[in-house]
Amino acid sequence: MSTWVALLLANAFSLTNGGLAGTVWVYLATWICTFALAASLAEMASMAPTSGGQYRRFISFVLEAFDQPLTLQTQIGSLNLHHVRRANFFPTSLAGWPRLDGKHLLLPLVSLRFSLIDKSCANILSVCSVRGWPEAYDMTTDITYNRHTPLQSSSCPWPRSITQNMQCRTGMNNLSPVPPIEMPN
Amino acid sequence: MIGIGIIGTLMNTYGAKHLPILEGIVLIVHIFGFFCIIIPLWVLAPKAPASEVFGTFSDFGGWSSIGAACFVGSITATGSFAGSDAAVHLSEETNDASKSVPRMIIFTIVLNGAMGLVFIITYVSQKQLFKGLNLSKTTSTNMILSSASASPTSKLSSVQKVPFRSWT
Repeated sequence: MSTWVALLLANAFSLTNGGLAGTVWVYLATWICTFALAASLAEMASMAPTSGGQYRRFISFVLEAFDQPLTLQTQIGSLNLHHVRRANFFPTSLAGWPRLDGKHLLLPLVSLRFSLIDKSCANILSVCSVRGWPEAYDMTTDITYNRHTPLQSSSCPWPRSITQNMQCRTGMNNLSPVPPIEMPN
Repeated sequence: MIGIGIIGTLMNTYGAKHLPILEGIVLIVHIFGFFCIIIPLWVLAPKAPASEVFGTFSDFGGWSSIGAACFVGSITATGSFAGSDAAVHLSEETNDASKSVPRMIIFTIVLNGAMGLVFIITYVSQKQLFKGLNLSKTTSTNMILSSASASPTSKLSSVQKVPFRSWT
């Protein structure tokens, strides 16, 4: 981050719109708001520190009623995560194809095409095609997770809170003591 | 830009082992360059009075109010905080990532925000910069407070076309 360098280079905007005092006070307000933003980001990064984490955290936190339209908003990555897990879509085995209707048929095709572009999601897809979701993906990042329990899809009711949503969707329970690591077969 | 591209290509191709040294050098330049710029400004440059610096809002863009102009001008502050999430992308190569990465994000925001605040106040307080602005189109705090009761659409009449003077 190069805050003061960027301020030196780009202050013509705020000096034109806002003036001297506007530059100072708007900077102060932006600092406070960005600190709140970074605190939220830091908390999520503490829960799941992965490099492609923004898509994973999105699909972990969003309520199920909104994840179809909102997944389209974060187009590239979370399309992959959503449909890999929800529709059981594996590119090599095509395990989930009979369960797909028209809507679900279109989006994995789009996501498969985007995955060729997006490096991290192509990596996720290749991992899933070999070992299955999500145990293999959790295993690859197991060194960064402190707590790890495999996802149990049968014990995932309609989520009633953000915490419960996070627990049942990622299989990670932040509130319980550290369980023993169970390796997938 | 060509030099930055060459340095990036060579360092990532041949010198990836020495990348922490380069990062340290850049950090030293980042910290010491800050003091190298603001200390001459503090010592040598004439200062504008604080009441004018902290109370002079201006609207050269012809927006409907000072508030709208400030929101438009916040692109500078927002852009200067870009990249605070970069530590997340390195979290799989970091020891004890769930503790160190959030600490780095918070520390980055606090340190860079404090440096930027000191720097922007120093920069804005320069008297030459204050002279360079066209003061007839600026609005003091009293004018904002007095115009709060006026009709909000009264300033929408025409877009002001003020040639923005350069300051050096």
